[in-house]
Amino acid sequence: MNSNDDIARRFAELERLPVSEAFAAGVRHALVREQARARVATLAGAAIVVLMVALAVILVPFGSLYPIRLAQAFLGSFTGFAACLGCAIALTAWFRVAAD
Amino acid sequence: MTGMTGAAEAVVVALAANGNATAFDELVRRKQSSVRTLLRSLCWDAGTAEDLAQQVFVEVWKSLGRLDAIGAFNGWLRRIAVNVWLQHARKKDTSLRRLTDSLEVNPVELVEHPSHGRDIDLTKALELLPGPVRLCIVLAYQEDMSHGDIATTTGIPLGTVKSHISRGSTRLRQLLSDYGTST
Repeated sequence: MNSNDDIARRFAELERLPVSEAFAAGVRHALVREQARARVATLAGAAIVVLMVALAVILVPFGSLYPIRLAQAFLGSFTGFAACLGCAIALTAWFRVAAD
Repeated sequence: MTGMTGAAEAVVVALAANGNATAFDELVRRKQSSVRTLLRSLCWDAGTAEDLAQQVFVEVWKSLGRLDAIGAFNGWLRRIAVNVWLQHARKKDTSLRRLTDSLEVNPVELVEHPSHGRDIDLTKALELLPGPVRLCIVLAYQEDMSHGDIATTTGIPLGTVKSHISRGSTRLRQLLSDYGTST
């Protein structure tokens, strides 16, 4: 038999895989893992923002040192803060993609 | 077994879309066979196919809330399965990177392979087809999709889909002919 019908017949004869409880359990496990990953990524992003603010506060007593003044000025300025926030958002997105 | 075994598919999908885990379990139970069979035909090895099938259901869980038409669930599920396979295959197979560029598969790739012969079956024959051709053949014959639907689902231009199916069928017939006469 050399026709498209022959190919169609062979495909029709292919057996469908039976329902597997192990597969369903695997999906449930993967979902739990996925939700945990998403939580970790969100927490990582939040932690970066908190760390950034904490750093700015911690640096206050050392404000007389030039590099610290520079860092404070950077974090204190709108552009600097926006840049850091942007980095935190980008890092969070990257964590999420990397987690996938 | 879940309490939703006898529930209508639309109800199960709607409940799963609202985050009902029991409904989603039932959806996995009902749809896993078709998704796993499709991916088994597209992948070279069973382990990868099972991993990808799991990934499909994770994607379904993540985006089910955005499904507009409940009635279109089966087509949507198949599209996710194809996309998950394409993403995986693009990392492995250079011929699939060209798929989105609408390039034709080199005919030479379809002509010669040393392992064809009497003992070949459909699964083995499919493995010998280049990725984009195999994808179109499986969707056309196994999933009974029209050429237009395949083009929409895969993002391959319609003309290329027709060409892949025509060449793939010819190659499959060629590969299966000896085996067919011996059974």
